[in-house]
Amino acid sequence: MSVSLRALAGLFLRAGNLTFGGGDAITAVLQRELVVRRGWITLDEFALAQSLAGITPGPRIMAFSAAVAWIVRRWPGALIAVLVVSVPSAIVTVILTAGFESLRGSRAAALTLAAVLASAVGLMWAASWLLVQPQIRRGAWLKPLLVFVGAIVVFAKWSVSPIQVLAVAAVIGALWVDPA
Amino acid sequence: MRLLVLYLLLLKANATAFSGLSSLPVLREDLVVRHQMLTDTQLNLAVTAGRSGPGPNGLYIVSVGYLIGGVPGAAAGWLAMITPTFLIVPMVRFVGARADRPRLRSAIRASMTASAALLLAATLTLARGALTDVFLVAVAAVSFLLFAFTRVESVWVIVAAALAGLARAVMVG
Repeated sequence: MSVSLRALAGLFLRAGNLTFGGGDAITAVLQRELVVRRGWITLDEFALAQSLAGITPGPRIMAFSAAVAWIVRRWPGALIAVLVVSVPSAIVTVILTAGFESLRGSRAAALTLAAVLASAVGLMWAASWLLVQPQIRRGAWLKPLLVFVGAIVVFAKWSVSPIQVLAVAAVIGALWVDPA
Repeated sequence: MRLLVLYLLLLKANATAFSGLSSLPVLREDLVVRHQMLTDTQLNLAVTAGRSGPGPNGLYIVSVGYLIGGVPGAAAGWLAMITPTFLIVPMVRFVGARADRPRLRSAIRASMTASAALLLAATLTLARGALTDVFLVAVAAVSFLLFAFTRVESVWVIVAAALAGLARAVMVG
């Protein structure tokens, strides 16, 4: 599928700069827009970018954006995605830093931000669901279920780092291969 | 020279971390404790500014750069944030060329399932702080339903949530 750089830039611009709640929320928007709504990349390509972003230094969302945009439009796509995700929100951050005290005093701003953050929570729940649902549909539900529950228990109960959890899951996946 | 030092210190913190705020301990050690270019209060302000706006949480590095060196410092912070990013492209190229192998594909899918679980676990902590009354729980629940089961453009859901919050502010007074 041929995707124009303009369309790619538009999507990353909106996802990166209108989404509050950090990298997980932006990833959730991109997953829904790239895989579910537009079909520009497959779920497997999304998973590959997400896995490798976890072991790339720096904010995961920047590496993830570069990776998925590279899959869609190679280097020009990767460069544009990183620029449009980071530059406008960096400018907003500078403005917020400079004027933070006055913004914090505004009740309307606080209530609006609270609703946006609540929506980001709903978005991340949906992202988690949209990642697991296709795995269950593939028919082999036991492995995804065990990995999902196991990851939550290990992460929440023993405070194991996310990278270690993802690495152990990958090893389990490599050893437990479903028949084709 | 000072800008270059700032860039290198921010790059060092960023390059030794793998997610938004995990660079904070290294950054604090260098800028607050060792070089005293920043105070703890300023660091807290930077983290809050980074989390209050849109975009990645790692943007707090831009805010730190601004507090130390003004707009040129913010540019140094931005550059430090994106410098390691492109390392992922050769990795995607290498692993992607082998992604048809069943064992590798199974490993990537299991890792994706685990990341879905980590995402859910992270939102549980976030939800405790964000969903403090019935209105906010309703906003989260409606957003979930729209995101998970419809094809409405994501940004419109977020804009609608902002408008709902603003309307509430106007009604409450």
